[in-house]
Amino acid sequence: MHRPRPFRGHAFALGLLQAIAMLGVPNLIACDGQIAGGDSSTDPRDLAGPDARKVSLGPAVGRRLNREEYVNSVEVVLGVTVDADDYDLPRDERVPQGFRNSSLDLLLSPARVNAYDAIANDAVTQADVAGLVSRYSSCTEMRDDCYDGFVNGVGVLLFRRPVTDADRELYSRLFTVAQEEGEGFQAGAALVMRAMLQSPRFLYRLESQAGSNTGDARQVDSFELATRLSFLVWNAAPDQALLDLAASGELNANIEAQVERLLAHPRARRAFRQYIEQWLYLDAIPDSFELGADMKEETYRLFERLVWEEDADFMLAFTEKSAELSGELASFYGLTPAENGFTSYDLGAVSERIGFLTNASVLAARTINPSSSMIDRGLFVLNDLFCESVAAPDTPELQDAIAEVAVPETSGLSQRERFAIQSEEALCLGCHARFDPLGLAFEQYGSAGQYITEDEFGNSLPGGGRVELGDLSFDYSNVEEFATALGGSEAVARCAVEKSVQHAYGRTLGSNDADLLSEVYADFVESGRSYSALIRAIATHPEFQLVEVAP
Amino acid sequence: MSKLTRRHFIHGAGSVAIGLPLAATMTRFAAAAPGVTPPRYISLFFGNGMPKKFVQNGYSGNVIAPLAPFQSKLAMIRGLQLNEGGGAALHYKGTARFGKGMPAPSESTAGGESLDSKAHQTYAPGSLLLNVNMHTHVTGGNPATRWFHSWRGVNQPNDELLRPLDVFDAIFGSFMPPDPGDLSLEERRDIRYRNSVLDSVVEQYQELSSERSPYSVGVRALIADHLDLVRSLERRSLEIDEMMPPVSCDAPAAPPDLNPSQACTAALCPGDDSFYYGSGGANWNEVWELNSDLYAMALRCGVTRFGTMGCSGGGDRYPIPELRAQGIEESPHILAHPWTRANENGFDICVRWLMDKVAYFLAGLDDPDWPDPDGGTVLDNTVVLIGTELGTANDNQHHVDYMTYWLAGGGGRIQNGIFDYDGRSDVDLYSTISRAMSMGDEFGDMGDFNGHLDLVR
Repeated sequence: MHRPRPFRGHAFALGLLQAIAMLGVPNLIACDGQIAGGDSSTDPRDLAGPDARKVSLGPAVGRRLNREEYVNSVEVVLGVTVDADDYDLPRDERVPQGFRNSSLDLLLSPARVNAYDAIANDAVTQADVAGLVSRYSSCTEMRDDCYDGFVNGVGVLLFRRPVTDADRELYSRLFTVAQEEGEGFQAGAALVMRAMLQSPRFLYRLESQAGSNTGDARQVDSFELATRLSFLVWNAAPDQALLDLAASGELNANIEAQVERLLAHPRARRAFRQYIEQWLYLDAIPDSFELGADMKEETYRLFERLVWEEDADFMLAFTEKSAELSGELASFYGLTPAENGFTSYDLGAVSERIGFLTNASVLAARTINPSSSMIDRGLFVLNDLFCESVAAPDTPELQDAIAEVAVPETSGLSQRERFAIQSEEALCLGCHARFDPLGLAFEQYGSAGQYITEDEFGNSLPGGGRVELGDLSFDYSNVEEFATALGGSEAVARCAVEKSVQHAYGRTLGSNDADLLSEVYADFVESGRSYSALIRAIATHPEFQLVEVAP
Repeated sequence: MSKLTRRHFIHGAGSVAIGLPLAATMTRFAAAAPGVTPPRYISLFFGNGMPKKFVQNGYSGNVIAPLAPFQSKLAMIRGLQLNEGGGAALHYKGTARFGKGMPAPSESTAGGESLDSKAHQTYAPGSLLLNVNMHTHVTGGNPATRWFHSWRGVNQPNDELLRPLDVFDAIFGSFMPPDPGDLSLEERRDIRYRNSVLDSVVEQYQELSSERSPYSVGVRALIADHLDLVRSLERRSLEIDEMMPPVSCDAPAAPPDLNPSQACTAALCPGDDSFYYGSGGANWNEVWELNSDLYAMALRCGVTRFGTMGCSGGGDRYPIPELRAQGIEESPHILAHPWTRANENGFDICVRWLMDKVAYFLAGLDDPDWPDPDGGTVLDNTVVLIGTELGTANDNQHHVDYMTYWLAGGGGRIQNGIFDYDGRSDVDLYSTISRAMSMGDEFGDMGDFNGHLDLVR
């Protein structure tokens, strides 16, 4: 395995900062990732020496399926597409700079349990129960061996592992209930599937954490591996083919082939859209937002073309100069609409549009407050493209400083001018110096992503700046230069890898994941930096198959 | 491949309640007549704080003037502190502590059970716990601690409702089980099937959360929490609250389907930036009044006795459209940052607006046309805690060194008046409420406890 230099471990820095903040030690936090006045030798990564390899203990265990994973999984196992909104199935929360699948943030509420109950009923009603009975049961008489045959077969599909004696006993009673109501095997089978869809074995990704030493790791079994691979590529439960390989013991020898099969399936595209939606915060754009659906579609199509049609360098997404746009969106961009529906446009002559960073969707999604969009967008670049972070400015001392130096929007100054004044306060400058220059790149875009050259007060918007971050140190005069630099940055490419691993592992990454990240990054680079190469690198990394032992 | 599109079940319950004639449901409510007023508790949260300046002159100040008509029924509690030190993110920390008195371990979860949930579990776990909120789209950070006020414990939020139609459905459309005598054979079979399925689901959760389970302690705890909710799903179709007040309620007409996260449109918010206003709040006034009316009706009719109300979230970055006519172009949160005692910047107008909303809710509870069995109003007999997440003694609203709360009700046990408890903690207040409701002398992080407040008779 290729051994590149250790990953920078930004997530570790964040975790430590958060821990310090929770311990009530304010104002020691500087924005260079160090603790002011602290001793850098306390970094636990250094305790075993700089060359000691850290072992990542695998993805988070015991996660509930999030909303997308649940809906996707119902489709895989029953062939039924559920509209979660119809059932008020709550959307899961997003961790800061993360995704909606973090093990610690998958909260459970009564509404979610109610929705599981209702969806289970309707999904089974819509499913081809007769077909499933035919597939999994060699007999349909109302007797135990027939019940067991069905429970054994459908149980592997829904539970992602073989059922137990207790399961067979439990579910055979539902056949009896159906029989008492004068109904036959198929009605009993439907009840079994309703119950299985609400079982923790379906709703949670359960893996045994038994072992002799807490903190050690064990190897997943073949069914657990099938589940991990499927959720990695499909964001969904495994299909029968994957489970059959697990049952036969042949999966370990066929991991790469199965990853290719999964990547080739349309479900992989669905999962990728869900990933892009969360990474770029496209889910922040409400349905009611004018052209919002078209804007998001542009971004999806940009990435999909690079990933699925061209298998290209993922980082080209920063610098692409062609786009698929609807006629309305083309007009919004100042182009002459070619025709209705989505059509490819050459942006070679449109200097203000380059790659996904200037997609209206991304610009709109990261405009939290139009009067301070420079901050919102700068933080997005810092957090989600460089994987770096700054502490929130909510300490009383910082709030007092903000109150003192804040320049109101009504001053008539441009954002650039207002924030330059505010950054004269030393307490503010430490952090703002890191992300304000990143946000300035998008100065010439309004809150909906429209191109503007002056603001509402008539201030001209030059749109240039200087970046000193990661491996970058450069002046830029326009967004093209900015995007091109980011697309060529190793720090940004490493962050793209870190985001994918964070999503795949369903947890915040820590210091023990640094070497894993470096190794996945190395594979990603060696394979041409394509998204599929990244997924392969994650899937085939040995630590993807580890489970942390816990009491 | 088939597709489910049917919006088939009413919020808050399973399919057994579909199509219930409302009159029959309400007869059930009226049937129980114990002749005593049962314990009730509601908390009402408003976001972005209450500076000392606004309350230092009691009810004579303009900002809290809307509460003046209720001062004979309110205890105004001033000067408490939250033990949150100088830590970051006081919006979520202060909100997470409200009604709980526990520090939040992270932005994603409160630190413990809330008073409403404790009371619900203590007195009527089978009844509807009604949590209604009104907030905008939070952008940045995890909104869980800012939005959910009712928690069963760490990582266990209770549901909240935002849309008046959902509140209506929860109250009048889906709470009570049907009378078996009114059901067809097919409907009875469906109910049996559902209960049998839930029985088997419960059994499997029991097995997997037990010590026999192969999973870790942490995972078993998750499964155990899920088990509790499945059990409550079962219970809701089987139990009724036997301590309903003796009133007969007619179901009102269903309200319009308004969404408090409704995006401003050109028609609703002319001249506004469409995306900024896309985060909601266009119809807050109407939503608040509808939800307040429904909540008051639910209390009068005994449909609910415990829950929470929320009016805006701490840190919401959203101007209130209604205040634009008064020149308020920014959100209360944004105005709160640079606010100082010497230089009002419109934050006072925002807080006054919030107090109008609080007063509207209180007026609904204090309606004399709906007396409790003892002749008092619902407000007289309901412990109502009102508060926010921030409070400053001096300038800038992002401090927690001078917190103000109001407490009402308690069947006369809670004194009215203005009480100064400078330096005392929120845990003192919550423990006082807990004791007044016979739920134990302690509530919250007892490391912050200094003693009970002397405002309960």
